[in-house]
Amino acid sequence: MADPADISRRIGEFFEAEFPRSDAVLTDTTDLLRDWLVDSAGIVSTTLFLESEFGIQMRRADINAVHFQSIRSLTAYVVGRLANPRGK
Amino acid sequence: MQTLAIEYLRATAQRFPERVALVDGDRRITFAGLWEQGVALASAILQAGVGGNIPVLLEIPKSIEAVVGLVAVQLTGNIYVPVDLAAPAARRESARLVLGDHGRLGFVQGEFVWDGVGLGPVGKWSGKGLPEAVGRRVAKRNSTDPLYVIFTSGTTGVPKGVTIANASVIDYIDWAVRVYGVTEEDSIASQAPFFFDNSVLDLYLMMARGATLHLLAPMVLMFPATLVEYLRDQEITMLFFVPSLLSNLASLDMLAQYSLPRLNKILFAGEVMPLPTLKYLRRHFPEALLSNLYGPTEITVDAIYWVAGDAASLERLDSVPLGWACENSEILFLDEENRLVAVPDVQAEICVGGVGVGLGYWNNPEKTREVFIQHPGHPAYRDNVYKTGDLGYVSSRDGLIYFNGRKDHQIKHQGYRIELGEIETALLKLPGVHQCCVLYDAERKEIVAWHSPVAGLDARKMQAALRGALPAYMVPRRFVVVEALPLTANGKVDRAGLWTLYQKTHHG
Repeated sequence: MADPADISRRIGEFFEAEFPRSDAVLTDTTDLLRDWLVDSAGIVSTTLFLESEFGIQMRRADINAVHFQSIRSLTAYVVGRLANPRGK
Repeated sequence: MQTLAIEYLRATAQRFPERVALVDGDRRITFAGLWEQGVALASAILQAGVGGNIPVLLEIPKSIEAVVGLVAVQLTGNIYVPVDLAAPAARRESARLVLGDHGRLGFVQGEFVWDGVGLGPVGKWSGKGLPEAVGRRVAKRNSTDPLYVIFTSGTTGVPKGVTIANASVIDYIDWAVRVYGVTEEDSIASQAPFFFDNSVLDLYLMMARGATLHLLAPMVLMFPATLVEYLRDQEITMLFFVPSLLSNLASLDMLAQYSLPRLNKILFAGEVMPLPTLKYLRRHFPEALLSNLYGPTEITVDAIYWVAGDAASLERLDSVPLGWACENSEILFLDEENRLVAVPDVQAEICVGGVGVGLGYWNNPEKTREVFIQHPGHPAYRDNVYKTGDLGYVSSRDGLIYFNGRKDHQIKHQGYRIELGEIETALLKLPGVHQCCVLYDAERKEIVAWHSPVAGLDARKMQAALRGALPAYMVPRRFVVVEALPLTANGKVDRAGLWTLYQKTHHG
């Protein structure tokens, strides 16, 4: 059973390391697209991270603004994929 | 003979009045509509009072209104200067200071604004020909008059305004139409912001040929699936992107799941195209035209181009070539003494001559003289070549020009040209920063700053302060505090040594 708190922590650590920002604090609800300056290349590296870190396959159509809104929404997505890897 | 770039639109509006010129989200405008609105806005601006041949800041986000604005500026006999509205106010102010006497065109709450004053309802021009005042202005313009000024990064922190003439754009667009076979049946996806000169190809191909130009929204460009779905659903036939955007599609193997049968012309420029990305594109578009283009802002968009062959031919390459000189461009290789180097495989500075060479930097004769030099082979008459600062060579293997790095500290990041010296200048303006060095990690695609310890100014405050001075894409992602920067024997910062140290820590 996936632990959402652990998934959230690992995603947060990834963002802190890959997109460090010294002038803001990253929380589970920080707007990643508006306030954390994740660009299109960042979307790609985050996708590749999620796939390798959690062993999931992210459907390409799922790489969208809804799922990339925040660490909370990414965590929910990962939890959902782990629970139902082939589901829609 | 065509004198002004705006004549493209005038002719196309007559030929294809009802064809769609621009798609901006859910909104569209026809060629007739674009022309009529542009003329009406030009009349309104002239009534507000403006001289001729002055730069006009286009302070409008990329949209239908921005295109109407740049059409109108040309029809008032002036020069448009697209503004990066996301840039810090201080940087925009320094660009304004460079321009001297200038106008400002904005679009606020549904109304065009000239020099801060609303112009009221502008409407459309429905008369024949041009209104008298507009016609007088247009008649006074010559082909050598500037069409646009685009600002680029400058090492001292003051941006440089590259000035490009009408004739240069006409020559370039006519060449592009011939080489790429663009017609009114094409739908072009526009990625480049208007303050990035790749947009010149998008805009004037649309105007010249009656092709439809789709102004892609930032959120469409952000997500690969959204982008590919847009290209598919809107039946895009041609695009001109920075390579990193195409690399995103390859990294996620987007084209395994999405088919784009209508896309048949893929052009790229602005940074080095990775060979694996090119091979990926060729695999998924075996019949499409894939073309690499090269040209700094000081040249009218591009001076060198290459058209990729089939998949087998790409296997014989070690890197993606820049290619051959565009028609009416001349490529020279000069050594440190500005002497011609004509030996294949010998690296030298890439210099560009021909009609596409810019007029220089606006109000900056000193910088202009530094890099726009007399053609060494034509000493008897004025003929400028532009020293790009890029290093390259002609390969004896295939006769193509290849890029081989920079001779200075300029980089390309997210498609933007950045002088690392400008970032260092901004850092050194922060109180207490006495020593710094900025390098680019090309592998991780991030800017890294080293600086001496500063009491009372931690990395958080430093990053926040730089955001007030530099565009977001120029603010370093990582800051490293060092007691003292390593120096070379002649007392300069040892960039190579610093880089080696950094690689050991961050790249294993």
